[in-house]
Amino acid sequence: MISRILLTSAAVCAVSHAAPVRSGKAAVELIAASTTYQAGKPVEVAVRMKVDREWHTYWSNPGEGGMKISVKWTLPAGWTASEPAFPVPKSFHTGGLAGYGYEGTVVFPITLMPPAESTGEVKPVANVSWLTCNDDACVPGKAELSLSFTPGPVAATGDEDAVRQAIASIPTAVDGLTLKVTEKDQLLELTVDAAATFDLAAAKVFPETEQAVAPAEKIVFTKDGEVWKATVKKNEYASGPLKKLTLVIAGAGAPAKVTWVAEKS
Amino acid sequence: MKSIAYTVLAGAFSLISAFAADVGKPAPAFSGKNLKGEAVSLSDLKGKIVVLEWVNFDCPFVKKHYASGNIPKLQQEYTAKDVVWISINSSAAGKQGNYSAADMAARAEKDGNKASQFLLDPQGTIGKAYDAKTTPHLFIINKDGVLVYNGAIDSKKSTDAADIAVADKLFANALDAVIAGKEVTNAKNEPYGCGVKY
Repeated sequence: MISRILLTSAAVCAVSHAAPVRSGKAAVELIAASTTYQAGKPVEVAVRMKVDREWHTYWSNPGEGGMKISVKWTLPAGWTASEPAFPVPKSFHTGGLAGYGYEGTVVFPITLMPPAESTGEVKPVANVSWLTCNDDACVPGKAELSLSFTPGPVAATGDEDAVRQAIASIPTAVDGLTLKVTEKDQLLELTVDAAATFDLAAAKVFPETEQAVAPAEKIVFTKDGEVWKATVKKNEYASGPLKKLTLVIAGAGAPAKVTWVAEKS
Repeated sequence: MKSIAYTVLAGAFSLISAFAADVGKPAPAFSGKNLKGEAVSLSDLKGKIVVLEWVNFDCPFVKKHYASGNIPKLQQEYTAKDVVWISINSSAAGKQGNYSAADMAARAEKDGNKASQFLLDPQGTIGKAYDAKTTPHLFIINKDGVLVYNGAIDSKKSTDAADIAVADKLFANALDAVIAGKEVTNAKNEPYGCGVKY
């Protein structure tokens, strides 16, 4: 009984969570794993966005039209912030344009880094702006979000699981997973070499690199001996031979990312 | 029999050319009504440099370029150099940006549009002939009726007016080159904006 009261008052005291801010067709909030920070150690936060039904927002490669989320920080002295990380998107076709992005709830993790010396209580401010569209219209949104952090050992906010899950949802490189790209006419031949346990047959594959793969192309890999192959149309706006391609692979285990870079000739 | 076949063939050819908006090729012919209900045809504009600007006054990317005065300033600057600037709205009925001629005229005035002509294309005929994808999406046609630019207004894909000053002026640079009789660099690039709401 007493411990429950203490826990409740502790939750109320922790300034861990402001109410979501509505703008346009979505609501956003800034969540953090801890209400505290330690000098020189990363502070994991995330922008959690809930997009209204029948609207969508965009991936880092939005496809045709569209625009990815932008987060501009006002930070205390010595602090830095990473760019937002993007979970695996879905494909959609809106009014004749092929795009990639999100519906419903999407959480974008961001790592803040305090300097080597403590800067006392701090309140980083994020200016977030984004775009939501549907077949009929596009509506922008923006919000100013902030959280306070005090120096000290980790103190849970109640959002630590959400932040951790968001981080786990970000595609990462996988040992032994490689990509090779060759070009022939306006086609890209993709060869993925994966560990034997990596099954691309049912995977959903997305091009993270903009203006590389033609929009609306479904990237479908089929097994060819020890490797997986796919052929896709090159993007009409690619200037010259492709120099780099990053693919995001979902549904074949944890979300994976693989990059090919052209050899310098 | 022969003449019927010829007509069918000719029809097929014009259909094919209507869907090709390739830089370096003749710009697709079109005809439309301006806000006063007057007919405007590309074929009447031979000998002029023509700009086509796909617009949707409610699209946040278009608002970036109008509220800042960027596009109106370009319209004023280049129409003063005898360029024919045609703003086109291809929003379908019921979709964002679609307005009646009277309402569009009022909105164009309010937002400072200074184009030579403003065409309503709610059926999307002209839009699809050019494969206009976004608002804004800019095209430049030279005095010989050849398409010489198909692309973005500038290089910063954002809705933030602060980006205009630091962006590469892809469209304006191209138009300057056309006016000077020089080769256009970066004549085809990916436009950014809201989808044209066909």
